[in-house]
Amino acid sequence: MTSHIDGIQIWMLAPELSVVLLGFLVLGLDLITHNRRVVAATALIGLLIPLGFTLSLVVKQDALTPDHTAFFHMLVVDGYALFFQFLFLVIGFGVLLVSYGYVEKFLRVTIGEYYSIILLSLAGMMLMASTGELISVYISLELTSIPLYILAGLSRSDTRSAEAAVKYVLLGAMSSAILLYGMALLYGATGTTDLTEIARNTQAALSSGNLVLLAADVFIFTGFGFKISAVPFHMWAPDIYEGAPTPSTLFFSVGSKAAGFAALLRVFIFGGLAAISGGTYLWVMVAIVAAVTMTLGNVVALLQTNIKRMMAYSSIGQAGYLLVGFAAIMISNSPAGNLGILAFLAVYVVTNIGAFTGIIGLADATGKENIRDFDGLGRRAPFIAAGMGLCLLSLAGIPPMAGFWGKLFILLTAWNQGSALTWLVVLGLINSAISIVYYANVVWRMFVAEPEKRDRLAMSGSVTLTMAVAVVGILALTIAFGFLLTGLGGGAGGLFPTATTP
Amino acid sequence: MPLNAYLIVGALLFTIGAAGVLVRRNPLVMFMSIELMLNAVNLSFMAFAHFLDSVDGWMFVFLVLTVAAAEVVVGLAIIVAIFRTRREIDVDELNTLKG
Repeated sequence: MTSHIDGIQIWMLAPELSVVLLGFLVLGLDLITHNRRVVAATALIGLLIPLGFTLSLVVKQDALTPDHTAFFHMLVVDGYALFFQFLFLVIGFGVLLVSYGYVEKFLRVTIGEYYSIILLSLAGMMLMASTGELISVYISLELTSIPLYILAGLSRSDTRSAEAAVKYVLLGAMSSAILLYGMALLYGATGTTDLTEIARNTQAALSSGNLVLLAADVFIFTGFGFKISAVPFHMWAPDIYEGAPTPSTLFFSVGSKAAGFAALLRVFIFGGLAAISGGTYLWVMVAIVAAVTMTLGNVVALLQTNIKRMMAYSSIGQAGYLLVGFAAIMISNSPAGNLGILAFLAVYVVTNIGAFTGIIGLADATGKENIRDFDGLGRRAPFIAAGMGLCLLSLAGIPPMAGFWGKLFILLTAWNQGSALTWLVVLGLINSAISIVYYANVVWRMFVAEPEKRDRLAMSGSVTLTMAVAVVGILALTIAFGFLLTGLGGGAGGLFPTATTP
Repeated sequence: MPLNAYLIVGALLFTIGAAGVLVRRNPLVMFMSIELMLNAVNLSFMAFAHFLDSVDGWMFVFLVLTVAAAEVVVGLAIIVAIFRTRREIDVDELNTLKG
C-alpha cells in the first residue's frame, strides 16, 4: 500500500465520485435551465459514466492495488463491492426513470432537486458495499440515510408524508446511535477500526472469552436490523412506505435494504464477526429474528388494504428470507453462503422495481393506491398490469420465475448447514406458500375482477419504459439461473463473487 | 480513573438516552435523547482511544459530531415542516399512519 494518494486510488473511487458529481451537476443544471427533459436526460445518460468506471474496474482488476484496497483500507474494491455497485446503478437508473412523471404531478420540487437527492444517497449506498473500515461504514451509512429522510418528507402538502419523515428521521438516527455504540465496543475490544485488523484481533479476543465482543455484535446487528427492517425493528417500515411519495418508497424498499445487507455482510464476514458466532450461539439469535421476520411480514401482509403497506410487509418478509441466508453464514462462517444472498438480492431488486412501477403507474393515472383500485387493471392498462403481475408472481416465488431460483439458492444454503437450520428452511417454505395468497390476490384483481370504470388508462412513457426494463431483467435473470442450476452456464462462483475473509 | 469508570458512565448515558427516545413524546426532546446516545458513544470512543493509545477513536468522534450535526439539521427542518402543516408536534398526535 502506498502512503500517498495516487491516480489508481482515485480511479478505484471513481464510480462513487462520479455519482456525487452527477448529483451536483443535475442540481446546478436545474438552476440554469427550466427544461425538465434536459435535466432528466442528463441524469439518466450521466449514470453511464459511473457504470463505465465500474465496468473498467471489473475488467482491469489486475491493475488495482495488490490487496484491492485504497485510501488506507477505507475503500475495498473487490468482486463483492463491484457486484453491489452494479446493482445500485441499476436501482438508480430504475428509480430516476420511473419517478419522472410522478415528481411533476405530485411533488412541489423540481426534477433536479429530486434527482440530486437520490443520486447523493445512491453514492452512499455504493460506498456502503465498498468499505473496509468502521469509520467509512458509518459515514457512507449516513450519506445514504440523510437524503432518504428528505425523500420521505418531500410531498410537503401531504400530512402523511411529513409524519413519515419525522418517524423515519427519529428511528433512523436512533438506529445509527445503536450501531455506533456497537462499533465503539468493537473498537475497544480489538483496538482498531480497520475491518481486516479486527478480523485478526477477534480470534485473540475471543479465546480470552470476551463478552464485550459479543455485546458489540448484538448492537451492530440491531443497528443494521433497523435499516433492513427486520422484526422487531420493523415498525417504521409500513408507516414510512405508506406516507412517503411512491418513487421514494421504491427507493427505500430496494436501495436501503440492499445497502443494509451489503454493509451487514461486509462487517460480519470481512470483520470476522461471523467467526465468533459458532462458539457463542449468536446464530440462534439471527435464526430466530429471521423466522419471526418472515412470518410476521407475510402474515400481516395478508390483512392490508393499501398496496404500499402490503408491499412494506412483503419487503419485511423478503428480508426474513435474506436473514435465513445470513443465519447460514453465521453458523458456517463460510462466505460461500453469501452467493445465495446476492442472487436473491439481485432478483428482489429487479422484481420490486417492476411491482412498484405498476403502483406508480396507477397512482400517476388515477391518484389511487388501494388494493381494490387494481380491479380490472388488466383491461385498463394491459402492458403495465402484465408486467406487474409477472413481478408479483416472481416475488411469491412461483417456479420457474427468477424469484423462485433466488429463494431456492438461499434455502439450499441454509439446508446445507445440517439439522440446525432445517426448521428454518421448512418455515421458509410455509411462508412462501402464505405469500402466494396476497400476491396472487392482486394478480387476480387485475385480470379477473370487474373494474368500476372501463376506460383505458394513459401510462406515461417513463413508467412503460421502466416496466419494460424490469420485465427484460426478470426474464434474463430467470434464464441465467436456469442455466446455472442445470450446470450449462458454468459455476455460480464466476457470476456472484464472494466477500472473502482475508 | 480506570477505563471501566468511563465505560460505565457511557453505558448509563446511552441507556438514559434510549429510554428518553422511547418514553418522551416530543420530537425535539426525542432528538435531544438521541444526541445523548451519540455523546455516550463519543465518550466510549474517547475512553478507548485514550487507554488504547490509538488515534482512530479520536477521528471517529470528530466524524460522529459532524455527521450528527447534519442529521439534526435535516431532522429539525422536517419537524418545522410538520409544524407548518399541523400546528402541533406531539408524536402521539402523529397517528394518521396506523403503525
